[in-house]
Amino acid sequence: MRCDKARERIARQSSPAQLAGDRELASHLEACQSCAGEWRIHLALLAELESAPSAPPFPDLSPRVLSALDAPRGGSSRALQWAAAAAFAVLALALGFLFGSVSVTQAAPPESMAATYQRAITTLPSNPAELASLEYGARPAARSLR
Amino acid sequence: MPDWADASDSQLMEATARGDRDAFSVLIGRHQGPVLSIAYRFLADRSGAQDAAQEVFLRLWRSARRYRPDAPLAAYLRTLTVNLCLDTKRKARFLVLGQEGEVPGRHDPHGDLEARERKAALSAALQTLPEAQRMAVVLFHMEGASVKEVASLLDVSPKAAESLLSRARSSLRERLRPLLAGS
Repeated sequence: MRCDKARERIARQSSPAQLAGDRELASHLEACQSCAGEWRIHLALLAELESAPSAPPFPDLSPRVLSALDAPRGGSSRALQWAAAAAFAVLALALGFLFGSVSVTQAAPPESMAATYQRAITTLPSNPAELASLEYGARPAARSLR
Repeated sequence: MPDWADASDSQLMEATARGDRDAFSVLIGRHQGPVLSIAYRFLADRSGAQDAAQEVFLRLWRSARRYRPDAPLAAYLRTLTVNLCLDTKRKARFLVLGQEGEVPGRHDPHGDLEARERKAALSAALQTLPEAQRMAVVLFHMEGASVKEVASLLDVSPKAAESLLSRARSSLRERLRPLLAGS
């Protein structure tokens, strides 16, 4: 086993007892002084971690939490923001609709367009066959596009 | 008023869901230790740990009606705490860049100076680890969680949890080498 591989394997050990399950690493540690030193440092780290001090005594959290239950939540201001945004959106839509309808009623068709309509109405053929050809005339063209 | 001291967690949660503050208060007293411990060891800040623990219990109060006693309440609270701590740290990274955390070793009145310095060094080294690695170390080495539990709490596979722990131990070993070599 190479030393870099052995050091990787050392980092995987979460307790001294685990070494018994890794015969390859154990025999490398017996042969390699440098990795054996690394293993000792690793054991010292594990010991430090296991003996890390517990949290210091804290005062009872209950009064603090219960009083926070009565305090206004940040969520209410968020709800207010949502309501304001919704009201603004409704107002914008209403104004858009209002101005849109006013401009539609005020807009007169352009003169050229009115003349075209008038011509089409007055020059409509009275013959049913001609009318039919006018009505379905567009279909073959549409098909040819496909 | 019923005496909640002997009630089970499920009974207390049912009462909490009905808005019973006495029952909720008993729940807080019963579970605040592990919640504060994880928060304090991860954040290395006393007031930050208290804020986090308060938020955990406020979330518990708000979700009391939805709570189903499929899993032990302690496990549910542990998940809430881990998620909140990771979230708090992610937000804090943008708010207080470079601010050093409190050193847990300072609160150990019985340890000698050398031991306290070692604890302080360990705590400082822990704070340099990425959040997921640090939380894995706190849960596995300090809170006694199994690799499977760590994986579940961090929402990763057991193999990924092993890898987080392994990388964390390597980093800590490098950072604390002079200190550990002398011990």
